[in-house]
Amino acid sequence: MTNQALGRGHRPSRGEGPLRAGLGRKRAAPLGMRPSSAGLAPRMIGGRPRSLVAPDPAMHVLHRLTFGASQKEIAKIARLGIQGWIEKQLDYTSIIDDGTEAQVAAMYPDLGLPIQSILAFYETDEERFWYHPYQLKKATILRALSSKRQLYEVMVEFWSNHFNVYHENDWTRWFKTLDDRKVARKHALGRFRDLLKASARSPAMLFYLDNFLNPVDGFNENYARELMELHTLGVDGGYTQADVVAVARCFTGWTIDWNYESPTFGHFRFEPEAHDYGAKTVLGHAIPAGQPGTTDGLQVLDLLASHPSTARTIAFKLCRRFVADTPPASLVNAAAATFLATDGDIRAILRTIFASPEFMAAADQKFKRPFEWLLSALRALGATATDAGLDAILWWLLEPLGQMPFDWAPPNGYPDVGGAWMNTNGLMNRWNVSSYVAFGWVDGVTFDLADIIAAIPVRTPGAMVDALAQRFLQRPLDAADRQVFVAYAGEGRPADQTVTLTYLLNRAPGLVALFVSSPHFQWR
Amino acid sequence: MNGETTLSRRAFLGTIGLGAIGTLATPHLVFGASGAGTTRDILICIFLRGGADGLNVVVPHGDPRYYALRPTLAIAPPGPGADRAINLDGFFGLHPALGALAPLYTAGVLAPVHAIGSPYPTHSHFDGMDYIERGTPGQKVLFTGWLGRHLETIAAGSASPFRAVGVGEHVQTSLRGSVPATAFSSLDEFQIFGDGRGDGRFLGSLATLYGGASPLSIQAQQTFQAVARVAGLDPDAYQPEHGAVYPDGSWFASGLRQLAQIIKADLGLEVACLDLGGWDTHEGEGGADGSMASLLSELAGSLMAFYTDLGTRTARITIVTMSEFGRRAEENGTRGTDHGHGSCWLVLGGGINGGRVYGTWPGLRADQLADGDLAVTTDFRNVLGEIVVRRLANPSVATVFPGLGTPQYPGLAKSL
Repeated sequence: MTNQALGRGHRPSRGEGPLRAGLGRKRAAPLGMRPSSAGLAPRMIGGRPRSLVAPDPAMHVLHRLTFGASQKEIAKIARLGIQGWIEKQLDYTSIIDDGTEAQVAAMYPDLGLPIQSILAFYETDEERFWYHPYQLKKATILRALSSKRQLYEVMVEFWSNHFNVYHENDWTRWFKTLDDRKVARKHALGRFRDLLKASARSPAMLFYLDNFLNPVDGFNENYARELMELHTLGVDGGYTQADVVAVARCFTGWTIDWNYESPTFGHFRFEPEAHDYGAKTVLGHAIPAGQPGTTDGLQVLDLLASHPSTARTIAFKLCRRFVADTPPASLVNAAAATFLATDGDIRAILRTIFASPEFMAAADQKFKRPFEWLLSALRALGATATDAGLDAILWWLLEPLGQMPFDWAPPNGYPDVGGAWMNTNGLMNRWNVSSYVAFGWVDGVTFDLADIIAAIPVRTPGAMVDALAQRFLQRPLDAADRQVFVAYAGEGRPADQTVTLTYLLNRAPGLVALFVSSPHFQWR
Repeated sequence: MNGETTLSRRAFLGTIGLGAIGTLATPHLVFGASGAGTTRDILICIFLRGGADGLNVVVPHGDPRYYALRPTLAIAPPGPGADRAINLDGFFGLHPALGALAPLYTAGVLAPVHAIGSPYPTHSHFDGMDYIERGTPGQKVLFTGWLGRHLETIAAGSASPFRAVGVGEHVQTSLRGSVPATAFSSLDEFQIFGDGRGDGRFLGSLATLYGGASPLSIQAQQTFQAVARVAGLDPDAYQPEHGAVYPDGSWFASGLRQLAQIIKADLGLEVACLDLGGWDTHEGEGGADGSMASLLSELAGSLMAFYTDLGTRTARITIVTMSEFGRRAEENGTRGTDHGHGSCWLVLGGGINGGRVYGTWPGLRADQLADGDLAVTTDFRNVLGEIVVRRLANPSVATVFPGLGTPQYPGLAKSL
């Protein structure tokens, strides 16, 4: 399947790329097409349908800490217990996942190359050069679909969204690969301080938020502002416009090495003559004049990484991600306290959240975002995807759903509250995508529905509904809801009427689409 | 995907038809057509996301400080040549890329408002947008948007799913409220495939499962109704009228084109929001040419096509362009501008007292600027409030804009 066939997509057009436009020039401004404040404020969005019982606690853990409850993870958490499973996921390097990573390395080998080699494709293999960003997008989907390190991948997505870099911002198409490797993937379950410092030196971020163009004789405060507003302190975190200017001055000279003959081409570079060596005051803290090199900037990052407002921002966002759109203040306070007590140890903060009664009490309160919703359907089906299948998922499913990886233009990242996603267009697209997937129209995405249906011991509409309720919802339906699904599955036949396997196989795709479309499947 | 699959999907879609969806439509399918039974305008709100540089939208060419502050970005004063400001009143001029709109100013239906913005100064995109869209600067107590509250307060609102429309994948914050807004990005893809059997079982089951009054169910019911209405539109066959030509390849133009179709189909549209992004011109903003000029050209060409297409219907249409803030008066070191405060909004429509620039000019001298920014002399709520009262026939301005106090309308809208 090609984009052209789908009539969608906006791959970079030839001849107007940044390399032709001149090094370091940027055409598009980072703030893009989307209403970026949509849904920033939570509203009452409900939660699971009243007719649906709460899931088993272990299933709740899978719904929140993975991209969807697969049969394999359900078996694993049954074996290890909730605590054992969580600890194993936190200690992700102990999970042997060579299957997925080997697949990624084989399918998308360029993701492991040095940035110089990736950029060099412009001269040697233009096709490979321009299609590079889609390798990263597809690898991201593949990892979410099949990695055994599910919590790690969830956290990679979280940090990638927190330190959002829009993938279509000229040079970020290539730099984001480096950012993914050296920022989000490297520090996803490490220390916030390391993550912040890696992001500050990441060419993708330096480009996206303009710090690569922040010299002493004409500084640019874009990065300085978003660093404090979005990455660390939060908008009400206690900084002023004077702090924004001072921080911008501290980061003068932090740029990208644009010299293609240099061994560090495409990496961070400190330009001494572009730095402002004057004294600054940041958040009441004196940054003395004449400090060498990157000292000013690193001091700012250390200051921000230890700041109570940062602890609060990160604690709040993690609680919003894992607990509720409006997380309980008690839990946010506890998570922030852990942040401060452990110098921003991400695993420790997560343990505080996962061990809390607030977390365990919050089942089905998060409206799945489109990526989570789609992946949870694919994982429930045990689907696998080829390269072409990942292309189809990207352009045919995720694009209309509004959540392709790294496709959010403003720096605040995709909203993580239900109100931002619950609307007419979004629902209609979910329902249609349910049909595309269930009827097997997505070329390159395969699953064995016949096998799933044939394995049901009793051949009745009721038994098929019960089996799929377990598979998609991990719990039984109440009588009234069950009757709606049964009436659909058996076209009005009684729930316990014996039918042929052929009949069930004929009804199964529609029933899968109905489950995935139902209000019951929209919550995690 | 091969051709066969595409074909079979088409054939499949054909089998769904109106029947299946039609059976779901709830009884209130007779909507108050716009124009019939109400004299309210249809309001189109266009948000220029990113902080549009008002000083280069409507150029104060009569203020010499403008040229001193912007050595590389300033638009030359009116004169011979295409890359100069288009004179409006001897002091202000339109950016040349907005040339398509100049006839509307002359015709008296376009009213720029300069030095407009929020009374709560913020240099944050997200806070800036949030406060304007909520209509409560500096306050995040109400979660509803100003248009949401407008819809909640007008008596006897219709039940049309197209009463409030947000073009795009997300409903704009302005529309948030108890009246559900319909989001769409493309009318010709606005259909539900289901299982393709055409027996109504799939959609009937889905509708039963989405019964009730939860926020999710309400959105789902809205979707069923909207899909049923759009099914009768045949969006592929839409032909703009009066020689209107929408710019090619513009998502924004395509959104306006589809709104024109919804308006002409009398689906009960009252308010619509759409966005044009890319205004965060920290770097390489350009002057008469360049990245901002391209955006202005897309804006002007699309607006002019929409206005032309709607013909005499524009007598009952008001369009507002807005942005979260303007930009710093002085250009930065990277031939761009950083986040500022006062900006310039455009108000357009048959009921607008156009042909003049509104707002008190605060001046660009250092002592006249607000910390380097164009000062705000018009609170945006007074402009929107005036439109709410005079063009949308809603007297409840105190509910739509709580905290505004005594309104001071600039007088840019005629009373209905």
